[in-house]
Amino acid sequence: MSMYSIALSGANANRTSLNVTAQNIANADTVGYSRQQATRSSISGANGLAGVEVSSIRRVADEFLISQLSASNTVLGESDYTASSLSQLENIIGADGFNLSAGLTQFFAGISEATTAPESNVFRQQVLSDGQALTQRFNGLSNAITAQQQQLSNDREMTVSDTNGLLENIATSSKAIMNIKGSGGDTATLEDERDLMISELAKVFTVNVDKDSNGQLQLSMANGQPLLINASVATLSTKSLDGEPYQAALEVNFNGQKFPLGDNIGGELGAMQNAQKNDLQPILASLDAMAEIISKEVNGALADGFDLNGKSGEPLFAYEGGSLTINPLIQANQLAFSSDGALGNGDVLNKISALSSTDFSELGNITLSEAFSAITGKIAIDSRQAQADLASNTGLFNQIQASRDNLSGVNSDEEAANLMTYANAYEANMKVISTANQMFNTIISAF
Amino acid sequence: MRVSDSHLNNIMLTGMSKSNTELSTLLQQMYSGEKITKVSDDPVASVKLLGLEKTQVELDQYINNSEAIKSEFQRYEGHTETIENGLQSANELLLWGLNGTLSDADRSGIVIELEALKETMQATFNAKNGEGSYIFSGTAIDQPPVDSSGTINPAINSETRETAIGDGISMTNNISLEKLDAQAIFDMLDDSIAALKSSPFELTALQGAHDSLLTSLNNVSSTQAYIGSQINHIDRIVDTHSDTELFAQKLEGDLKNLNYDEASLKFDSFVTALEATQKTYAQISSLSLFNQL
Repeated sequence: MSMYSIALSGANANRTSLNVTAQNIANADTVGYSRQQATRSSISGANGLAGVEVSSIRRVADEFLISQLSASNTVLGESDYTASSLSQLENIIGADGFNLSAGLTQFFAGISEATTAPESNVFRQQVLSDGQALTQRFNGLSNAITAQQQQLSNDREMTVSDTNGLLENIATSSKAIMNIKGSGGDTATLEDERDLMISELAKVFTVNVDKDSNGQLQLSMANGQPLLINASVATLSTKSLDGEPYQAALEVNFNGQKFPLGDNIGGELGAMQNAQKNDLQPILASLDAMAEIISKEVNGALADGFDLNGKSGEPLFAYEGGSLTINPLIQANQLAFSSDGALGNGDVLNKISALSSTDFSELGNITLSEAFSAITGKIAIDSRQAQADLASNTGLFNQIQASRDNLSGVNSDEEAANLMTYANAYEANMKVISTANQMFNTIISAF
Repeated sequence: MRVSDSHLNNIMLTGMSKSNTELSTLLQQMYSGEKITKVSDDPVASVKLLGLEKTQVELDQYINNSEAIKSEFQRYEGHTETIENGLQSANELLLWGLNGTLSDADRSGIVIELEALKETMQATFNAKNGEGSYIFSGTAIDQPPVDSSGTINPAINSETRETAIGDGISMTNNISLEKLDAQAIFDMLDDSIAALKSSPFELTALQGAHDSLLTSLNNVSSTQAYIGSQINHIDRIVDTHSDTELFAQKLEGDLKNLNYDEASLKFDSFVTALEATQKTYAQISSLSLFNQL
C-alpha cells in the first residue's frame, strides 16, 4: 500500500510544482511579481517511508532589495520631477519671444537713435512701439512662469489627493495580509501588490518602512511624522501661504493631530515644493524687480522733462501687480524728451539711455540686461545639474531594479526547464503507481 | 548570475530610449543648424550668446547713430559752404568797393548785390532739415534763427545735442549760429551797405567792415574744418564698430553653429549602434527553451 501512497505524494508534489511553474509563466510580465518556488521535504510515517510533501510555497523576495528600490525611487522621483520642471523653465527662458535682454537692448537702441532728432515723430513712435514690445516680452515671460507655478500647484494638489488614496489602499492591503497570515493563507500576491504601492508612495516623498514577518507595517515620513501604524492611517493636507497664491505648506494629519512638514521631504512632492520656492519664485521676484525699475526710472526721467507741447512729462510705463504696461493714453508728442522745454533738446533721452548700463542695487548691483543673463545662467546651470542627477539616479535605480528583477523576476528558460522536469517527475510517479498495480495483480493472480 | 526576462527587456528599452533621445537631439541640432538646442546644453555659451546679441544690436545702433550724425554734418557742410561762398563774393564786392575810383552808380550796384547776398545768408541760416526743424537754432529747433532784417532771433540758443556713437563715446550732432558768428556777418553786411550808401562815401567804415569780413571768413573756414574732422572721426568709429561686429558674429558662430561633418558622423554611429542593439535584442528574444518543447 505504501508504494501507492508514496508515488501519489510524489505525483501531487509535482502537480503543485507544475502549478507554481504555470503561475510563474503566467506572471512573467506582471509588474512587481515575485516568482514563487515550491519547497519540498521528504516525509516519513510510523513505519518509515511516507513520500514527499510541498512544505511551503516560497515567494522569492529580498526585503533589503525591496527597501533599497523604494529608497532609490524617492531619489529618482525627486530628480525626475526637478529635471522636467527645470527643462520646462529653460524652454520658457530660452524662447526668443521672451528674451528680455533683446527687448531691453531694442528699447534702449530706439532711445539712443531718438537723440539724433528728439523732435522726430518717427523716432518717438519707435520708442512707443519698442516700449510696447518690451512690456509684451516682460508679461509673456512672467505669465509663462506664473502658469508653471499654477501647474506645479495643481500637481501638488493632485499628488496629495492621490497619496491619500494610496495610503488608504496600503492600509487596507496590510489589514488583509495580517488576517490571511493569521489563518495561514498565501499572501504572496498581496505582498507583491503592497510592495509596489509602497514603492509608488516612496516616489512621492521619503518614507521609512518598517515591516515584520506577521505582515504588520508601519510607515513614517523622513522626520518621523507618522503615516501608518496598524490600522490608523494619516492624511496629507495643504495649507495656503499668505501672499503666495501658488505655494502651500504641507501637513500630515494623524489621529486628529497635525504635524507640519518641512521643506526637505524628498521625492516628487519635495521637488515640487523646491521648484516653486527656489526656482520659480526667485525668478518672478527678479522679473518684478526689473519691471518696477524700468517703470520707475523711465517714468522718473520723463517726469522731469517737457514734451513737444511744453508740458511736463507723462509716464510711459505703468507697473502694477506684476504686470508692466504702456500708458494707454500717451501720444508720441507727449514723450517728454526735453530737459528745458526746447524742442530739440534730448537730454532726457540720454538720461534714459544711461539706465541700460546702470547697476541697480535692487538687482544685486548689476544692470537690467545682466539680471536677465543671470536668470538664464542660473536656470541653465541648474537644469544641466538636474539632468546629470537624473541620469545618475536613473542608473542607480536601474541597477537596483536589475538586482531585484534578477532575484525575483521570472526567467522563462528556467520555467521551461522546470516544466519539463516536473512533468517528467509526475510521469515517473505515475509509472510507480502503475508498477505497484502490476505487482498487486501478479500477487492476486497467484491465488 | 541569474537573469530575469524583465531585466533583459529593461536593458533593451533603456538603451533604445537613450539612443532615441540622442537621435532626436541630433536631428534638432541638424535642422536648426545650431548645436545649442536649449540653454542647459552649454550654460556658459548661452549667457555669452545673450551678451553677444546685445553687443551686436548696440553696435548696429551706434553705427546707425553715426550715419545719422554724419548725414546731419554733411547737411551742415553744404550750408557752411554756401555761407563761405557768400562771404567770398562779399569779399570781392568789398574789395571792389574799396577802390576809391568808383562812381555812386557802381556803389549802388554793389549794394544791390550785397543785399541779395544778405538774403541768401538769411535763407541759409534759416535752413531746415527733413524733420522741418531749423538746423541753426541750437535746441530751439522750432524758432527761425534770423528774421528778414537780419536780426538774430533771441529765442534761439547755442545748446548742443549729444548722441551716443559708442560705448561711453558721445558726439555733438548740431552746430549753432554762434559757431559761425552769424551776428557779425549780418553786422558786416549792414555796415558795408550803410558805408556804400552814405554820401559822401565812408571809406574807413567800409575798411572796418572788410576787416570784420576777413575774420568771419576765417571763422567759417575753421567751422568747415571742424565739420570735416567730425565726419572723419565718425568714419573711423564706424570702421571700428564694423570690425567689432564682425568679430562678435564670428564668436557667435563659433559658440552656436553646428559642425555638420561632426554631426553626420555622430548620426551614422548612433544609427549603427541602434540597429545593432535592435537586431541583437530580436535574436535574443527569439531564443527560448519553449521553442524546443
